[in-house]
Amino acid sequence: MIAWRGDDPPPTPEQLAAYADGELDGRPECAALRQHIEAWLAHHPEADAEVEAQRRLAQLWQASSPPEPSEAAWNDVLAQLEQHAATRPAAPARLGLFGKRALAAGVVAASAAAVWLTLAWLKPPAGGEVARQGPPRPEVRPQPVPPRPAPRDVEPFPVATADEVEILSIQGADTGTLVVGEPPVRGPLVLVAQGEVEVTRAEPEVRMGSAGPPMIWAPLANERDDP
Amino acid sequence: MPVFASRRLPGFLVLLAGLLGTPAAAQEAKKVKVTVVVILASERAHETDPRLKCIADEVRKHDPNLCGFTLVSMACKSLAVDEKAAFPLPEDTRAEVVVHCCGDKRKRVCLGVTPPLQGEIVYRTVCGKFLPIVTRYQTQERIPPRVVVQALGALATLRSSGSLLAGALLWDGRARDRLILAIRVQPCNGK
Repeated sequence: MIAWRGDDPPPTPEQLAAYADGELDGRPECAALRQHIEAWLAHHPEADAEVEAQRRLAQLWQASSPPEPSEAAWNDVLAQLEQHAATRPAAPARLGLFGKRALAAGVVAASAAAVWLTLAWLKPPAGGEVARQGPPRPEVRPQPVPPRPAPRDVEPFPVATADEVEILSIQGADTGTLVVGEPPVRGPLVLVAQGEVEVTRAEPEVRMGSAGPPMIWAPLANERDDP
Repeated sequence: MPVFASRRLPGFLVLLAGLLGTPAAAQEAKKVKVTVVVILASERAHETDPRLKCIADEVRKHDPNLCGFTLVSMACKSLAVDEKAAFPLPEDTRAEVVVHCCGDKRKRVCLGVTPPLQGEIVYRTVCGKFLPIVTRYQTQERIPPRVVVQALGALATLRSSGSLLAGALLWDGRARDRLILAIRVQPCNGK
């Protein structure tokens, strides 16, 4: 027997119930848990009453459970159903008041039973309830799926180089978004110098800047002065 | 077929072949690449694109009220002599550019530019440098977002006089930007 230590966690109610129901007997994988519970019960005799109550409940459940119908009974019911279907094939079955109530009660009972069984089966294990769920299953971890190798006859998309791309027009705010190629103007604008430009024809109002780099200035209606 | 036609036909074909067989590279060499940079100068904004610092400094010498300079767009087109091209500008306007001569003995290009609301400006310039043209076109009147924010702040903080102050800010914040073009040609004679 495994000696129970004071700092060991006590068995959960589900583990105690499984132990009382005898679900841990005869299962080598649950032997350690059974010994642990027995050691704990040896140090906690106050829990014996709970275990005993659980055992009585299990016996009562076994005693009160209705016996399963025999094979002959099932065949008899099936034969009656077939005979009933043969005699009234087309007309829908009409049920009397008692029949409707019985049918409704049966449906409700079947639904409740199905829900109860489903919840009991799907109830997540808590702590050591693994004993009720049977032997622990090996954890199945999803294996990483290796990437599919690219077909050998597929070539990657060719990317143009800066020499192969000429940006003809671009918004000023978008010049920083270019990946390949250069905008029509790169860096600060270099202005013409004095003597490098000569206006040969223009409107009378249009003037050239008198000092500094040349600049053509078309004055507004309210700024007729020369720049 | 008449006799004179049959005699002249081979020469005509030779001339036609010579015209059609002109190498495309030679035709490309006669083209000039024209670059147009569109700039908006504002009296309300105070931010200047670093690429426009030289232009901004020169323009401010003539009109100190223009303090903000925004680079709207830049575009380039290769033009042959007498080929006219339109460069789109803000508010569905455009500037027309035509190359009058492709490079003289001083390797300068003669260019004609027609900004909106103006007649054609013809000038001769060197290659590779920009000539600013401060047009007389002004954009539609608008209220900069910064002024709108200020007006909303006045509305939120001041209860009684907030609406009056916000209205005054919006009224005073109306602005029209000045359109500036900077035009460059390149290359000249293969340079």
